[in-house]
Amino acid sequence: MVRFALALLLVFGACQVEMVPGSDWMDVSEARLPAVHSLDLIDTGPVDALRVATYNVEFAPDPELFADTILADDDLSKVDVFLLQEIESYRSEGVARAQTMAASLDMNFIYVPSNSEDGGDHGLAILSSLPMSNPRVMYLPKSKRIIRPRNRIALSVDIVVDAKVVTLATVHLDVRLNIGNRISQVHPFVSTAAAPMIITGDYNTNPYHWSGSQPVLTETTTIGPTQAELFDEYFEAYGYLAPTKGSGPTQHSLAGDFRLDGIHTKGLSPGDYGVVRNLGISDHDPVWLDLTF
Amino acid sequence: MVDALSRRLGLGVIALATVICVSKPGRASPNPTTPGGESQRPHSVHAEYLGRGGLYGIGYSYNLDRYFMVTAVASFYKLEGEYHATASPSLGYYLFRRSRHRIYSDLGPRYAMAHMSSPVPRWPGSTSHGLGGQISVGYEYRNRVVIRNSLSVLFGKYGATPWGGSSIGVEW
Repeated sequence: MVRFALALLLVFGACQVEMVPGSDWMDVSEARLPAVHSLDLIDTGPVDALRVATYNVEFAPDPELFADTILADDDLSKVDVFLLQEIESYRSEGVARAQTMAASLDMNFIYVPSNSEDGGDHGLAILSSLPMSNPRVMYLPKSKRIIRPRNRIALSVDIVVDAKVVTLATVHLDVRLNIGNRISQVHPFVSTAAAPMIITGDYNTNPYHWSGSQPVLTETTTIGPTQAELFDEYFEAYGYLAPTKGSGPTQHSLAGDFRLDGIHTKGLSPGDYGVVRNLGISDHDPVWLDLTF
Repeated sequence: MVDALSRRLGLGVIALATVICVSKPGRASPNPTTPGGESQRPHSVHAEYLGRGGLYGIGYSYNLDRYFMVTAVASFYKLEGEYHATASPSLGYYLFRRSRHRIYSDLGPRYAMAHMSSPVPRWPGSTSHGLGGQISVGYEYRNRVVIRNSLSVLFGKYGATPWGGSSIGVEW
């Protein structure tokens, strides 16, 4: 009977979940939780190529370990800009974890929390060996039906490469979204961003279908198409390239290995990319991409 | 229109299940059973939850002989603005049978169509088709009412997923 009731619910009640509107871009000084940054103390001089990486660091409990791991890796040690998701900061630790990591990597940084945690907060960070400017934050639309909805933000900065201003943005999207709402969550800034632009993040493009906050396995979980594929199609429709779409899985859990993370570019020439696997310090793998100018 | 079709199919599943639930075994015409109580009616229709038809579906089975049956299940449902349809033929084999109880295994392809509508102007949404397969083992009870419970593996180009399902139907 319970199963039958669930089927009834799916027949009659499963319409698209409404999204609560987000905000426009705003300067980080207007963010709801205070940002921490040091944008331009480090300057390694002019560059004519760029390597960026997106990395969900799963709270980065030991930021120095992350920095040491990055420096020890051939691919990651050449990264100019890291765009990090799921990084935290606790008052008891004195400084933000992003700041500790940036100091160990000799990089500028910005950390913007999206949500408060017990004794600290949780958010996004960008670490860069190039000076950064124009830091902005956007509060993204969020689902009305998700239990304990969290604020989702986009964090953006500008850097200069080969005398061109390039905008970089990072996001960490909700897990419990179907593709329509996932697109709605990023659409406010994807659709309005001007080239040259790099968008990265943990898009959480999991293979499940969600009925409210419940995952419902359907045949597309194994037969396709995946949310990751459809998300790339959406970006491409708005003039972006999806150069890391062949990366394979970037996140590992008991439920399986999924492609949740990616990099999208607009008005730029992407080159090589890679996924650094088996670092053992996060449930996600970092994805890096070279860009030429 | 698709909404209306989805709703009608949903109502169809509910109506069929209701008819099955209120019907009493043995009320209808002569009972073609063996002396051991085994049903020899070859046809059955059923409504199922999960199983071979996505979230829920309607199926027809025909017993070719004492050991083999063929089944076809179709489904169509809407899930948060996405439309899914499946069609799954299969060939089943009775591994064990005693009186009204049977253990079976079946194998067959699963065709799936998914349509995602777009919330934004420049991405048109997506309509896609895919083919996977499913292998199951299940228990069947047959006595004018046909009840099946199965465990399966659904496989496709993205790997394999454990699956399962229950169905209730009538035979004739």
